[in-house]
Amino acid sequence: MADYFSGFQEFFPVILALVAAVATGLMGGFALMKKMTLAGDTMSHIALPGLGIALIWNINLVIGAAAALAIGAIFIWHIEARTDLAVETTIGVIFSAAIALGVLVTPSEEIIEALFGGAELISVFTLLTYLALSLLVILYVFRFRNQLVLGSFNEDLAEVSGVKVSRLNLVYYLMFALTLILGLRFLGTLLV
Amino acid sequence: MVPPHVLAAIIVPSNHNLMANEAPLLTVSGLEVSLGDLTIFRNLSFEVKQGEVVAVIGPNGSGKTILLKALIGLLPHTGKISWSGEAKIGYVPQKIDADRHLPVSARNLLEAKAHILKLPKRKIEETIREVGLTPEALRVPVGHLSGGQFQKILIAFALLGDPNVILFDEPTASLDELSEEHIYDLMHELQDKRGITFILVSHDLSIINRYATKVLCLSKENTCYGAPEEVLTSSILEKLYGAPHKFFHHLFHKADHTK
Repeated sequence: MADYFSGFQEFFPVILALVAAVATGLMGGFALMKKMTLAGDTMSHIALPGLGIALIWNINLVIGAAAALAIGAIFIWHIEARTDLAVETTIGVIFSAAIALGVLVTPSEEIIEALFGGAELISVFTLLTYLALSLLVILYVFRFRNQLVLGSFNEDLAEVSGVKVSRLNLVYYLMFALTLILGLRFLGTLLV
Repeated sequence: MVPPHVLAAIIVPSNHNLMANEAPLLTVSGLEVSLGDLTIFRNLSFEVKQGEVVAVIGPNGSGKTILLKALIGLLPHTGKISWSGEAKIGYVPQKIDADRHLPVSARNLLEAKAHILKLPKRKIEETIREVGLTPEALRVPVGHLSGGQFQKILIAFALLGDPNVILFDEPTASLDELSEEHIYDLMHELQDKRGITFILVSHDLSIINRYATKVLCLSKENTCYGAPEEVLTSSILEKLYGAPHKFFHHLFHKADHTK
């Protein structure tokens, strides 16, 4: 199968960019409504310690980044639910801690690639994984768009209308983190 | 949950005296709500029957909005809040609590709720007509609406899903008299036609005098609950609000007047 696809391999980045653009665009619309448009920029830095540890242990960088982002998203959700702080404040706290930790653990010769990404050839497996992740984000937005609209308008009204706001927020942050991963590999943590 | 014929029976225009013997729609006993280590109110007990209009009064910071939020399960509390199985609750928050800077229209909001509750599209049109909203008001971003229009949209939002009880936080705060009149008429109509029970927070004397069948006064130490003529006496109001004040003499005077 890889042979069959190899002729098209140079188009893989274009396909990925297009699908990722749809997914990030859809998530971005709700990020705008939740007043966390710049959160993507800062939140992506949370991936850094994950990338560092992945480099040390020699495992797939995306898995490391995803794990770090998922843990970060859960932390952000937990602190926000407990303290009533704005999301941007919570992300700020987690993000500074993650950067510090990331710089400590990432081997210095590799940090440039982690920060700025790389554009090596994309394998069929990577392409399919990323397409699946993008599709997941797109389906999520279509399925939960009404809940997300009410949740960002007024959480109490959403709750009374039968939306479990806390769970909705947690899943949104996780999906937000997933969306970041879509761009992370090519742009690096600094530029997403 | 509730079979449709039971619901229909409740929504039929109700006779207050007839309903008075029925089981209460809401029973609250020994309710205490704290925010952090600050106790807002304690030992609050009252009952609300179908078709009643309960006005919640009290000085600023006495927890009127907190009470509404606790009643719909949005805040942790101790004590008992029990809604009868027939209760279908609508909630109209204070206008300032809603984010009006979103790039969404009122129709978007109504459709979102209708979709979540799996209501047919015609329910939205019915509600819009009932509240008297214009097509333009539904189309523009919510941030462009006047206070009165926005209030109507919040009411329409609460009505979607056919509630039989509406918790209404400050129905007429910061509205001009004409808009106030519209909101009153609308509430009156809803109560009359659909027998909707209202629990409303209000500083508005005319609304309490005209519509309330019960008054609940809220403060940290003194809470009271009863018919308006029992509760709106100068001695109770002075105790509730602290020092005597022109405003409450006025309130007392008006309450006296309507007897």
